[in-house]
Amino acid sequence: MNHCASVAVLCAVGCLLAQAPDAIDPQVDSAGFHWFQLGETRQEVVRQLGPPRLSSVFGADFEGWQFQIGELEEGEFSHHAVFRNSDGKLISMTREYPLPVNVDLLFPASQTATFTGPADWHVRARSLGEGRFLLAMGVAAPGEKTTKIVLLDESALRAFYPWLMEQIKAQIPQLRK
Amino acid sequence: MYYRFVNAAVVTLIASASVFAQSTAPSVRILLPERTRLLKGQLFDLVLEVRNASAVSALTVTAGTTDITGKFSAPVKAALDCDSTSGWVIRANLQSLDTPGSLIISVSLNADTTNVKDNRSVLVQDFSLVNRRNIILFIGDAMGTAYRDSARLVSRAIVDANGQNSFRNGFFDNLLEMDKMPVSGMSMTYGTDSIVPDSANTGTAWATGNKTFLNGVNVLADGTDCYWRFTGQTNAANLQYMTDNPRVENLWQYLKRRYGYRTGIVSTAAITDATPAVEGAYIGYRTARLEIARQYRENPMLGGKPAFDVILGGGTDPFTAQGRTDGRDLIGEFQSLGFRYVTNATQLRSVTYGDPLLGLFKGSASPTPNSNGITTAADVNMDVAYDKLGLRRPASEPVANLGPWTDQPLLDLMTQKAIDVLSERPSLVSPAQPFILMVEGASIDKQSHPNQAAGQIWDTIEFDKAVGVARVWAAKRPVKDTLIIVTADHDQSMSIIGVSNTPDQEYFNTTKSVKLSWTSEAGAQDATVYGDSYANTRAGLPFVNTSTGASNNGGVAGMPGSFKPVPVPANKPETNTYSTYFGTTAYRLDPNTGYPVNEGLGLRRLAVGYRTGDHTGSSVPVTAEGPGALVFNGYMDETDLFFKMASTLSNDTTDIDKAVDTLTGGSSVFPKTIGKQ
Repeated sequence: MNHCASVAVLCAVGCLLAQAPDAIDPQVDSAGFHWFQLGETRQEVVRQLGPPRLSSVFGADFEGWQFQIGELEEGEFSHHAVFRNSDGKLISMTREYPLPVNVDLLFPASQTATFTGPADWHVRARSLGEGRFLLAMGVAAPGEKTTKIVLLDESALRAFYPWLMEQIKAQIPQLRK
Repeated sequence: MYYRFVNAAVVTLIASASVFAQSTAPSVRILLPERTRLLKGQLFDLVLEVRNASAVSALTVTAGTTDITGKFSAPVKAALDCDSTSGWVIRANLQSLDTPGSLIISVSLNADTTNVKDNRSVLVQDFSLVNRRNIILFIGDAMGTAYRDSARLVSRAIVDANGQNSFRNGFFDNLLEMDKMPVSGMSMTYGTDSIVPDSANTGTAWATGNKTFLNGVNVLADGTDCYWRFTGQTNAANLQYMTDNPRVENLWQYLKRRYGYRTGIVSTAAITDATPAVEGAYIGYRTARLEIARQYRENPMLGGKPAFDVILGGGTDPFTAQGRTDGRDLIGEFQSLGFRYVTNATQLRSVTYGDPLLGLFKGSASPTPNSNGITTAADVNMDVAYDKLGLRRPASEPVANLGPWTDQPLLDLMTQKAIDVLSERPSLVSPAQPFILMVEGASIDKQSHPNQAAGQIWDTIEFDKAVGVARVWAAKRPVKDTLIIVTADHDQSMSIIGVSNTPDQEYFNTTKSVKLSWTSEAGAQDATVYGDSYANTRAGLPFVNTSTGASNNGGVAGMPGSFKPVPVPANKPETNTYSTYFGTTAYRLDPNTGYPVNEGLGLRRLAVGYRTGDHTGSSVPVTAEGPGALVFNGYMDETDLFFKMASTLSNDTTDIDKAVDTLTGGSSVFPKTIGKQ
């Protein structure tokens, strides 16, 4: 990456983070990645984002919450949380940006891979360890902008993106079991 | 290039999905809700979901006494509910039921070695085209009763050159166009999953006669919604799960497919927005604009033919090659099919009877697809009437920026031209094909979300003028063959709270404001209150009671009052500087535009308040005029609108039309409402 591009990336994420209250957006600094950890309870999420706009129990064992933080059009949401009903733990948090942003700083090349799903649609995925993954949706390569970042654990990845789980398993031996 | 995750910790596989599955017993489910209602011959997808079975056999499906098993495709394995148990989907797409009355659809099959069953009761309403009539449906998006009231209190409380107000002693000289329609009712708007609905599931109700979930466009819920509907994972990879929901044909395609009706949509929104989408697309997620635009061009109910003869609105982007992931130039494709294409009001004015028409009046300078792969980066609605008219925005509302799109038509022109194209010239076509047209005032809702009262009220006035165009056209017809219905899809939170006497120098003053900050469980929040706050009260703000002397002002009492009173000329009747709850509004008319102006010495503005910036679960008014209008009388469910519209085409309405004429016509026996002449 050349210098100009690096500055642009830093500015894009830096400006984004500078405007954001703590839990609204993923943060990155010299100590690493900071946002939700996953495993939070509903009460802990409310403390971070306030009450959800909508909530729905769905699927096998899930509850989805949708938040509208900021001025959004009807049907648009800023965040989506998914809890596992049986233990009440947060298993997925999605940040939906109102405008496309460059998130390269959240996806170091050495920890990130690009995967291709149905409809030839791309995802850049970073393993955060402890069964957690960060996804940049619709991004095939560094420099491309996205409107959505997804943090999810392995159970959510298997449930909501089985094709991606299969591809990641092929790259991570521990997951082949 | 090959990457490897270098910091992936050892992960313990958690078999949570299968452990916590809802049930392990084999089952089959017919994907039709309780109280499914269909028209005779209306297309729908009959879909079965089988859970917890490794194999499916011995399928038998009956509709009444008819065996319809042969209509189903082979079972397909499916991951239902996002769990790891074995599921199957068995489809019979685009089916219809041709026997009127109530019938039972029954399914029986073997799931592994267990016989499982399900059944649904479906009510089929008879239909045959007895009356070749036109239908014009006006949807004021979010136009609840208070919204109609606001348009009336602004546009029909006009002070003339002699100082006489057309709203005197509680009566109007001349009510709104939609007020004058002789039949009225109320529509209950609940969705399958919501008492506060959105434009997609309410649109599905009036367009197909069936209820659905938030964001759903003419489809029913299914077991693969878990991938996207509640998770936020709306993208191209999951588009397959947004387009596999059971579809129910809408009235536009039904009438075009079976009877050759000409069809049209007109909206001030991006034309792939939810309200116009329910006339031409079938998809679980309203925001998948690229797919909605594609279905306008090649509609699944019409064998891939275009859904419409007239399309007028905003939102050029998803029709352009640059804005689409598939690179298709849908505008060019429409043109190659004989559509005329216009992009501004000047071009639209020159349109006359003839070929089908595509008009897209606003878009992005550089359309691009969104990274989600299912919509465009921008979704451009037309500008609102207030801004198209060039009126000055009050202090708290954003200044308009029309950019290069300075020649956008108003909704009455769009409506007139849509009617012109759809109605054909009777002398050239005998008999002329009837048409069905939807006209939407979209930004009544879109301006209410951010509580922009001026923008919202003037859009409602614009909408009423469009209603007037249709009423005049229908009245001039040699045969009374056009039914006009005006309603809303859902309500919004605005209410009429009084009258504001705020002088212009405060109402428009963007330099003087009060900043409010407070802390709640949701964290720190702040808001800026400007001098127009008495005319536009955002109830989300805390009241800060610093008395201004305008204490007897009802709903606005106690609002921030740090602005100093301005002396009122002695020859003016008002004495309160800010608000006289018991006063009346008084606007002047711009003779050039026909719209009220929102400034001037002595103007008493309507004061409105917003409890939220969102929809409500309140019922919405319906008014109707023309043959068959009486069926829209009384409280009804929103799905009834579909069946009532159809019933006016399928039945002799002579007697009920006579009753309406008696009540509203020349008889002196029954009272007349002042202002309805």
